[in-house]
Amino acid sequence: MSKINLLLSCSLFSLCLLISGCWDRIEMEERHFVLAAGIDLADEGLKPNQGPDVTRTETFVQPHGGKRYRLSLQILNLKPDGGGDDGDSKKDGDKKSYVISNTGQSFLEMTRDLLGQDNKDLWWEHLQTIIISEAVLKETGLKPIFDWFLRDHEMRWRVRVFVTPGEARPLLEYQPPSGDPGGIFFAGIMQNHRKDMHLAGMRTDLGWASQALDNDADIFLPRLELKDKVVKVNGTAAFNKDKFVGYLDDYAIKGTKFINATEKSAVVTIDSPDYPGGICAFELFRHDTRLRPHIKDGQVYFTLDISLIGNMGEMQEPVNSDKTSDPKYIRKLEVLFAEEVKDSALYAWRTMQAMHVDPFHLNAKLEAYETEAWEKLKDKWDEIYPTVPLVVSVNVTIRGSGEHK
Amino acid sequence: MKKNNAKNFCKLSKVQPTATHSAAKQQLTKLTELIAQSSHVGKEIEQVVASFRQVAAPDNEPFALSSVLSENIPLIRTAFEDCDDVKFRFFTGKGREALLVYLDGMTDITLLEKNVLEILMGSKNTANTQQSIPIDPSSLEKDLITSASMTTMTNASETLDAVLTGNALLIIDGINKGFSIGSKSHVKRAIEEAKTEAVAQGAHDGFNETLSDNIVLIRRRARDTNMKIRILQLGERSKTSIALVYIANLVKPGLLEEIERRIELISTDIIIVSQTVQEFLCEHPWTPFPLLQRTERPDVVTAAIYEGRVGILVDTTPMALIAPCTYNSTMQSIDDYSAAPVTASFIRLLRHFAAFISIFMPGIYIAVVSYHPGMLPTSLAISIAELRARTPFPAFLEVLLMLVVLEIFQEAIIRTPSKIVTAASVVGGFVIGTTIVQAGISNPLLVVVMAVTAITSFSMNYSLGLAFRTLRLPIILLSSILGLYGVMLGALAILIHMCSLMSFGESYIGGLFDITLLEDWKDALVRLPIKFSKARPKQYGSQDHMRQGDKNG
Amino acid sequence: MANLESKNKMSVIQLAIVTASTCIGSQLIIGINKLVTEGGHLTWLSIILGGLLYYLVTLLMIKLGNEYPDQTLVSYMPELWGSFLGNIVIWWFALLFLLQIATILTGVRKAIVFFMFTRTPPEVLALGLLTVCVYCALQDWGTLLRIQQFIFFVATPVFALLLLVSLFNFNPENLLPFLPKKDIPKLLPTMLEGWNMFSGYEIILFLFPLTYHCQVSIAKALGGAFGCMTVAFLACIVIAIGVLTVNGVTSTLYPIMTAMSSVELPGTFLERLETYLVVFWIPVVFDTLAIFLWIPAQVLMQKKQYTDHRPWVLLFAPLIYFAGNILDSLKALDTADKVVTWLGLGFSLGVIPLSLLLLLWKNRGDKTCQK
Repeated sequence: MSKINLLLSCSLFSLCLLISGCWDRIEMEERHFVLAAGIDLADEGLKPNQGPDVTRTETFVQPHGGKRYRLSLQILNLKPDGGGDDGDSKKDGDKKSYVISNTGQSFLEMTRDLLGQDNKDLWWEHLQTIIISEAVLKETGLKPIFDWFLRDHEMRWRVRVFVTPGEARPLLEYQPPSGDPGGIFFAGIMQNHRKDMHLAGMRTDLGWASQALDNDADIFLPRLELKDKVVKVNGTAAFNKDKFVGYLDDYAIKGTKFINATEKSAVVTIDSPDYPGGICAFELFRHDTRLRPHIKDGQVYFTLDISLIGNMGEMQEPVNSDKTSDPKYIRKLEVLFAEEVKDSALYAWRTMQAMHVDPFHLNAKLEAYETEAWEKLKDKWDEIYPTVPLVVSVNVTIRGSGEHK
Repeated sequence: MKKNNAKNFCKLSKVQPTATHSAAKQQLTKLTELIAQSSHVGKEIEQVVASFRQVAAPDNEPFALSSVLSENIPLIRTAFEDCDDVKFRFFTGKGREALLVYLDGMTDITLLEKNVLEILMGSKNTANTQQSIPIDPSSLEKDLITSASMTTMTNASETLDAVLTGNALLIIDGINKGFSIGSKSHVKRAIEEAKTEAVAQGAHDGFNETLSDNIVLIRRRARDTNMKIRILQLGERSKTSIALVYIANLVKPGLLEEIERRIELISTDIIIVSQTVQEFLCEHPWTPFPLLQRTERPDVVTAAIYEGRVGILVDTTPMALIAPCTYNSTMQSIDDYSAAPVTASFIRLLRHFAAFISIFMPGIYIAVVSYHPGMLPTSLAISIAELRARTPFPAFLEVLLMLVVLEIFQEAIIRTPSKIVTAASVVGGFVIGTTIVQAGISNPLLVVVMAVTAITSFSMNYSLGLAFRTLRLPIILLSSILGLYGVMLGALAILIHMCSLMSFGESYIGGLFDITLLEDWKDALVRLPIKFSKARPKQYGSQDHMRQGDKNG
Repeated sequence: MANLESKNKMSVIQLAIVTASTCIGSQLIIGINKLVTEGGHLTWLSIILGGLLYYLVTLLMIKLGNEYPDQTLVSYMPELWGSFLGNIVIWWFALLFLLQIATILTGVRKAIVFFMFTRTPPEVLALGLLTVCVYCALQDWGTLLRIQQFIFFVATPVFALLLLVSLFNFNPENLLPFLPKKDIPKLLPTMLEGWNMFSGYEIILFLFPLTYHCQVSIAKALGGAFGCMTVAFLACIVIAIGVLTVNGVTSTLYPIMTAMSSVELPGTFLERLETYLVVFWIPVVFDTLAIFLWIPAQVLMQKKQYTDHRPWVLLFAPLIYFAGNILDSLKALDTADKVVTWLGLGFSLGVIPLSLLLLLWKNRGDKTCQK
């Protein structure tokens, strides 16, 4: 009898669990994947010919704060090829993704109000890209924008964050030629940062950026530009703490990557020394970089030792003039390449100093290696930084000349 | 007394050939009188004794055998009333009434004819036809009956048992004993390949349903006088034979006594399958895990008894039991020893991995798909979501549905007559597998998940596979409430349960990860080459630890 | 012979394994932040010194145990301290574990809710884990021992392996400076705070009579256990700081998790590695909790002279559950943590050495009497 009672109560209990349980159950198909988020000023990022009535419909009545931001979301369409056999031209429902937007100040509130425009709950766990327009960053810092994204548990560490000089929404509506949804496409571009010296992709995602903000360090965020169907990650936005300062050109990014040792592969080009008009390119395979602080007579300076090993990647020189088997010529090229790397590093160094942005975390280096001196310098660091010299020594080794002789 | 008389009679004709005819006649008449009297007295005494016996028949005996055949006949007939397959053969052998009782179909009749009837009834040309047969049971056994197996029985129940096991019962007038004449011969399956434990490279003989054959299969594998086989009877009504097989100088001290003690405690009327015995013997009847190892293979039993364990063979079932049993010993296959050690180790690890999959895969699927889809890479998450967007059910119901279909399908395949199996698998595999997806009831990924789950549970010992199949459901429930956390809690609960199980005083997980049994690890999760495992597994506590060099055995 | 006769005994090595796997537990994830906040760059040194300090305490415990072989503290503490003080010591010992379970359970459920769930009530998660722990604590020592070993050899290595994955983002420069002078005064408080990491070695006091002695000396084996623990904690701290820098560690609640989530394994299907880490952290926490529940139940069983420890486990379970619910607020948890730390430190650095001194003093008295 007691056993039956026990069994009964056990089954009742488990039934209770089954009924009341499943608090966190989310069926994937009942959620809409948010793949990218775009942040504009409230009166920017409109659809072409969008009237004020549409803008009013998109938003909600707000007791607090103002209509400061426009949040646009790119949402994955789960049934993209439902009518593929019909042979019709692409209707709206056939697209891989669609965009909805809302205006307001609190991002959390906007995302909830956006549910009024979508038939399923929004799901942020696979958010790939956040695009912030330059106009927004001129008004506020990064921290207020990042805050919600960092607090929400569904966010990933590796969300890619871009700054666009134009408006963010058109980028979300852009249909990549590969057929991928835009958010995945943009995030995918940044994966190439190991091979492309112009992409500042190392440690520029949401997690690392917020980590840097926590550490009072300066950060970079890649710049994404849309010009008449051409999309390119083009340069980098530099931030002093969370304040937008300006853009870096590609050459400065290259130099920063050399200093920070975040390159995996690189291309260095020089004018051909013997043949005017020709050009030589060096392809980097392996490098060893060391940036160290030194203090001499109270003067702070940094040394950068780089040794690069790689191949001749390209030599645009006249026919039958190949001198790759000539060690002297190779030596000459090596010196020139080294000079070029040094120039680029120094260019980046000076640019960053002029912008008052420290992407090299020099303060942390000083604290790590010269702890006692750092304690004295700490308060004056902001004044000292623009004057700190960098001593660069580069050593290039050309290991091979490629397959063609 | 009668014997003396007979001797005197014989001697008289030989010792006094020259005596006068009259004197002889006189003497003879005296003698015949004496004989008549004494036989009369003898008969009376016998009857008195028989009647005494009758009264004194013990409680557990149906009746007592009397020396008068005519009295025994109705008793035996009553015992076998309505048993039309019991045959009675009356005959007169050497001048005495005799009766042969046997079971039709379970007895070799030609053997009986040769060894009993021909000899007792005698050919007509024998000189002393009138001579009554010697009624001394020992001389009957010694001089007359030529059967190899013959026992004298005084208990009535024994005689009945003898008939029911297939031996012939011989009762002779004037002897209050029955003789069982070994002539068992019944239909049986030939030695075939083990059905549930096929191997690739091992021996291919498996047990059949006959105990004696099964014992032979084990005996043949070791010429060892220390291999002891003790046969017990079990089941009040079925009286099934059970053989305990062990190596006298290896078996763990106390183990055999414990098994015997538990067997004695068994009270049931009939034993049909060895599982009945197993359930009586093991400590935890509520666990899904098999706490005694079941095998159809004589080589497995032989290997086990040489590890100090005890094999239990049950008549009428091909499944032998081995005690004690550990999770690991059930997971091993004889193929592990016929493959190269490296390969075998790899396969063993794979089997444990399969065990894990077969319990947890559906649960993990539910947990990942409906609780932590963030753990999937975006591209995979999108493709799963697209697949799942076409099906109406939440993941939990979907899995439950597929699980039920799968289990029913497995059950159906086992029960189906072999000629329809192909049809059934076509229906199950192709039709259900593909149409369930096309009809939008389940998504293809889940079909893959369930198929993998099913396959993995086939890759190990059948009864263990069953246990794992049983455990799937609670894991699915847990994962549908608490996601991966629930799966982990379930895994811990299973771990605790398995660690708490005991099989004849041995831990069910055995020396698995037990640091004091480090030597056993050589042949546990992996198998090291044989030359490294010189010792018997310590976990079974065999008397002699070393495999090689135990000359004094 | 390792079969049914000696299933409830263990070897010295097993004692070491049990100690290590008990001590390595929840603090790997929930304790690092506090410790690094306290210790800064010098945390690594204070963990090593802390390991030595608590190993010294352990040596004292072994000495105490050797004086009373085949007896647990339940029987010899009253003998040593007198019945009133002795009882206080025993209750102190039992309470220490019970309070620790409550705080650990609360901390763990917070972390799990944070990383795996959002809306699931934390009480349900705590209840689930507690149920499993109670089920485990209801078993006998042999079962517990097997579970401990299984987890030590299976779950802990997987956990460690996952942890090592975060070395992809490891930047050794973040560890510098190694020996900042300004952090030296923090060394001692961090060592004491480090008790939270090492706590659990007190079980030796109770498990001593269950150990049979063999060639390996008990002090050496436990030294190995402490080495193992120190390496584990050190690895966690070094990885956390190496990936996130000291500032980063102090600004995140669960630094190890954050370090894990920064890892990207291109070309694999593994994402959100921190979820995997949490999942494999559960068994690591579980074995600590199970032992912590089993020990006080056994202590009270011996004290009240029961033959079965199970009623006590069943009595403690609801108490712990409700205590955990009370501790739910951050402040309450913090206070409870402090109380537990002081109770533990008081026991380790106060009661144990004093008991030993008392014993020596009594023994000297005995010797003079004999003379």
